[in-house]
Amino acid sequence: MQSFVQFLIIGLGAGATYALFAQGAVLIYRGSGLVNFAQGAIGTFAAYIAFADLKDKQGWGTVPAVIVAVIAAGIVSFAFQAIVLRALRRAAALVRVIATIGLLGLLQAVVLKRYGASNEPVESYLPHSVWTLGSITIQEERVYLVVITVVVTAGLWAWTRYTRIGLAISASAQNERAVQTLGWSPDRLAALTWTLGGMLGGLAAVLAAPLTGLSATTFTIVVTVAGLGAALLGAFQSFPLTLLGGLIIGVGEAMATLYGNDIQKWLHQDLITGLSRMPAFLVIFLVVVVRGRGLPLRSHVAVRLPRLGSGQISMRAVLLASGLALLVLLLVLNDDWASAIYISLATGVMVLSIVVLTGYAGQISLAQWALAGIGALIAGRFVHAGLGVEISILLGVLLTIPVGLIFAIPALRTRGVNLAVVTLGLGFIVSEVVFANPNYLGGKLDGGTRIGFVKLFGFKVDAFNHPHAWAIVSLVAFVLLGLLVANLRRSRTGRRLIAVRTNERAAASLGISVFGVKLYAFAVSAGLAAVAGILVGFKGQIINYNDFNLFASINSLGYAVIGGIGYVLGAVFGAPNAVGGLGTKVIEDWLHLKNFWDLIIGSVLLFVILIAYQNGIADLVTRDRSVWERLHLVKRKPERQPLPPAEVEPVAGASLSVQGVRVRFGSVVAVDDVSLEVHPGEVVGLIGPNGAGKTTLIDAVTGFVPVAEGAIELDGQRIDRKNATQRARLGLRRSFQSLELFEDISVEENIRAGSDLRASRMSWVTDLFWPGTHELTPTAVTAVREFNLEQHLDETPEELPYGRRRLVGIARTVASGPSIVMLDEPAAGLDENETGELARLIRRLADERRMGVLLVEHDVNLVMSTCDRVVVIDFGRVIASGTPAQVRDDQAVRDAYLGHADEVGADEVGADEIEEVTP
Amino acid sequence: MSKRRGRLLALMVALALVAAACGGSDDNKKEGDGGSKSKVSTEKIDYKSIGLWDDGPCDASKPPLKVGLMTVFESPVLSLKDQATALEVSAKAFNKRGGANGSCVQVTTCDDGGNTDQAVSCVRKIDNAGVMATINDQGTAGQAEVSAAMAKAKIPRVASNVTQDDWGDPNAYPMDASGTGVTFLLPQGLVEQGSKKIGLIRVDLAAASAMKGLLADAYKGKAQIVYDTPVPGGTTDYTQFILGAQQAGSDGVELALGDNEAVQVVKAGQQLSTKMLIGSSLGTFSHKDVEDLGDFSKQMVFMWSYPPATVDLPVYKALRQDLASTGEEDLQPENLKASPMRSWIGLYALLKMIRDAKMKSFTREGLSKMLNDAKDVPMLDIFGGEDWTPSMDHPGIYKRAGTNTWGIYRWDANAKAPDGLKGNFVAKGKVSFDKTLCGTIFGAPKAQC
Repeated sequence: MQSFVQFLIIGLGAGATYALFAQGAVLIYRGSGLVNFAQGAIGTFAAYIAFADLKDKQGWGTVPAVIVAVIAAGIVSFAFQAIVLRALRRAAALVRVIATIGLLGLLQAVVLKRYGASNEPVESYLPHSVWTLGSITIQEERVYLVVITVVVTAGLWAWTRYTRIGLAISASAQNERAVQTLGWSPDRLAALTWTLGGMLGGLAAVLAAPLTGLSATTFTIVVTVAGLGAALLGAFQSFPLTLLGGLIIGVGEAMATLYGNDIQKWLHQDLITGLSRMPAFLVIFLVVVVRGRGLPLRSHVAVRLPRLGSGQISMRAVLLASGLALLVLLLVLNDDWASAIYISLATGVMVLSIVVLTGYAGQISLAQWALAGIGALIAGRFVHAGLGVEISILLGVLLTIPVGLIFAIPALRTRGVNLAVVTLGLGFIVSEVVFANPNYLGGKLDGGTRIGFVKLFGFKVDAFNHPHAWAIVSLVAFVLLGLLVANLRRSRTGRRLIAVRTNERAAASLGISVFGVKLYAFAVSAGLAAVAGILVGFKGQIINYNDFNLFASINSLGYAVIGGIGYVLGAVFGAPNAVGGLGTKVIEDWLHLKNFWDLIIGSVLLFVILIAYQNGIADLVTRDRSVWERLHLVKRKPERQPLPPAEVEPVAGASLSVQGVRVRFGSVVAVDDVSLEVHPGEVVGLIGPNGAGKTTLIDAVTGFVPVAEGAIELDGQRIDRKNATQRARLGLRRSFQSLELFEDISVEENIRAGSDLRASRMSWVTDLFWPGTHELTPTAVTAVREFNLEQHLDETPEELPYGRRRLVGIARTVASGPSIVMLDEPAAGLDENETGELARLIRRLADERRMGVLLVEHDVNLVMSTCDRVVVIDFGRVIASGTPAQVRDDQAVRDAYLGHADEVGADEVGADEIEEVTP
Repeated sequence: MSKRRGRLLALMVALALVAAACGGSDDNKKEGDGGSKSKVSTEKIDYKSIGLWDDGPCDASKPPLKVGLMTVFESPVLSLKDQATALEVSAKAFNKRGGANGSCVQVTTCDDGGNTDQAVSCVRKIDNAGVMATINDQGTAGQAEVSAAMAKAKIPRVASNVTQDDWGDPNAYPMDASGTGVTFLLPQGLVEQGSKKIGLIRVDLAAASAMKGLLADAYKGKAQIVYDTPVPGGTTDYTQFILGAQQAGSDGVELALGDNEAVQVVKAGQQLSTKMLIGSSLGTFSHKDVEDLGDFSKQMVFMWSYPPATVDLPVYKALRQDLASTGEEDLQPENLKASPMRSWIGLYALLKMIRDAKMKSFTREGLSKMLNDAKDVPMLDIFGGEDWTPSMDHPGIYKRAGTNTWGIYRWDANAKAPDGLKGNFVAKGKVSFDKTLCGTIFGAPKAQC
């Protein structure tokens, strides 16, 4: 028991440090909606200024040195926000996160350059007596640390809860425009939070430095491993919960240290590594599982990602570039340059995996090099066991794919920044538990997996004795895999990935399996990462697992963004920035700058590219196609041919029956015992005042929110236990009030995403090799024609006026010829003529195509003129149903819209509408 | 000017300031914040009387003896640049006294950056520079590759720091079992100082994870390894390791850690006033580090194959004077650790062999042959009276370790120290590497001991 209490106390001290670092990150997130990966590096910078510069070198006292250092941390943080982040205000969130990674790299490099890698102890300056209670030891310094953290937490909580500026900061992260209308400048608020957040990072570091010593990397690890976990527990919003998260992680680590040997015995293992890292990861993982959702809520704001390439390939250009690279490699470059080439190419393969996972599918993973290491480990163990290298590599790649599926599990419950944090933890835990355990690596004393010098097909190709040969192997792998990734972009499968990247709810509504797509993206990217891992791991006689660390994963995401994360060419332009790659070689050999200058210049380059070209270099290079056409490297784009004639065919009719459906959100009943039916060829209107539960009912019927009670049948088949994708595939489709279009791709691809015929399961694989050219289906062609979108097919939705965008949304919904269509406020934002045209189109869907249409609309004229029957709900309950005329005359409807006579005047909005209805 | 250009300009200005902040890395050496400071004697040394020589300055017109050293100078976690600096300084000093039979010693150094690709690139650089032998090279990544590449280039590695990847390399001529060897010997030092239950506080690396099992087997019957914990990166509280070891019943702990972590663990032990003995390598702690610990330094047990620089050994007068002569802070006696000392000792040994062999022209093959033929190179009491046979090939996995004797040292605050320093390390015993590890996985089979 005494041991338990002792380690509990130790854990609280460590946890307070984690929490203090995390609070700065939470404050910054609340003010700017951005996770600051540089929080630890800002702290490191401050600690070195305080103790290495001001105190040791300049002879300052501790207190002024610490105060100035904390202020310096605030200034660095402020400068970063003012110079870099303001320029990236409209950039994708991922781009801004990458900028913070650039700041991390820059500060770390500056610290290493100025102070060196050797670590220095720091004298304790807080009172540091040791108190003894029985056999329990309490260190006064840790008590102060806990107290300071609690006070800081309480102060932040009170400040953001009870002061106007604190409330404005929180609101700013949610909605900048709203805050602007209240007279606050979002830029200034962000600057304030970044400054204070940076100062908190500095404060945490100068307080923790006597416990850790001065080290260039310690605080970065603290923040990325434990700090972000604590912040995640607080949802990057709650300071008290963040404190709790930090303490749980700290105590968990201490307990893992205390009971580590017992746990090993209990599990009958002679060695388990990374036990002390488990608590942080488990906290992160549990938070994601408990709080996560399979599909985002209606309120979820999709994170915009950088622009996508087309995936079009010019084989002429590929062959020319590959041949040229080969010639230069063989005839011009020496061994060192060949090494830089293979490092860049291996990183390039890794960037390709990121292009698939993040660029195409929108899933941010910071564990890609961990997967790469798994690939190298599996292949290496087979080689170690005596299997041939070629077959071992194949097995390594194939067996890494299921591991990739395990890595995908968090993605099934979360997305965006949370996914980044949880994958970061996952990658770190793999490094600690797998790569640090010699029992798994195959050699107790080697520290890695011994594979000997590699021969492929009888040729000696190991990188250290034959760097040119390994560079050729890497080049071949890179080119072939690049072609696969380009194929994927152009294929049906690629469209599914992009649909999920852009909008998971919309994708699910079109019958695209969001889970399936995410699993697939992780699987393909795991295979690609495994190849990268083998290219790195098989360089020498022993696989060195230090290459597969979490910072490599973070950096590679940065390379992908620099190059162009949505482009295959992004790998070509991003990968040379890899440490030891071509960029390093140029800086060292041509500019004669060594010792961390490559890191500093790399960070600078990252900022410049992010500010100037947020979609990456590949986007810049490919923007003007005519240049490449003039160089005869790509063919002239063919003129678009008119769409083929298409017969309007009726759909397979099916009736929708909703019986006694009830939807609850906690204690709130949003939909209460609603029943309605929609038959083929019928338009049913669903109306009701704002907040009546109309959209919630659509969400429930289409599978976006769970039904608490009641039954939903489609053509006599119960569907209420099926998910949204399955319901859509059965012919039940919907549009969205907020459009939810796939903004990154053309109108044609939007329509295709809605109309792609269900392909065989093998298409997940075959699309990588034969993407095919798929014509629009006759039903889709009909939808394009009916909604008059033919001339807009090559444009992206964001290039269209609002009315057209609405029509794209509806056309996409009906493009596959569903039996039942649920249209959620399709006329919102349309002018009178457009609304009239829409009414005609809706009727045609029912009359000519025999679709059943459920129309939710506030434009009562449209409803009454278009619908065969109307259902009215208020406060989640059906208050009337019948023909438009019946509904118009219903007193309950009048009361719901107008209020009772004693409550509301008769001239309120809506009164005229009801009166004017002509059935 | 557009806003974006303005931002870029501002960014450039900010980065120019960053570049300025990066400057001055050479003049920020930490001033001592406590402890005694040495004043190295500049009195003329009678080199002959201490086993060295002074033939006057080397002849720059003669073809030089090119030696090299590669290790990690700069990486985010480690810097061993002082080894390279020490070799350069040593070469300068020996050149003043005749160099290599009159030829000057020329040094090429290379930073392996702590990664395998750069390490192999260093071998190429050293090869291309015409280096004939390396001295005190210390790989921190890709040792197997470096070892193979050096062998392929036929560059002998004198006084190299061997690891598990190259401890059988016939092209390597290590003087001892170096940094990895001390890890396996430290329990013996602790046992001889009274410990029976030993805790292991070690680096968080795969190769180190196996240590507990290996040491438990090796020390069966002498001591128990009752505790084993890695110190992960990002640790914020080191007291947990000391308390963990205490809870497990340890009466001594072995620190198998990098410098910073080791110092932090010792500080934690000091704060907790632990009664456990703390065993560490002399590669980690300098005179100043230990003096700064005050009374707690009594708890420390140190081991290394050669004595610390401040021990009263005649030849160390020259070593201290040579290394301190450039004013490099890290090479002053109070800061000098075991690793840079090996640069001086290795160069001495190579030059001694060249001198004894009367070698006037230098080739890799010639030097390799000389190293293979050399026996009992006089080591001037540096290795406890033992001389060095470079081409040692004895049983056990440390086949090439050329000497066998290791010393145990404790701190005595009242012991006499040279150059005005206060307190000193005191030898407490010698340990035979071969005998201690006989019959274990590291040593020779019992029948051959």
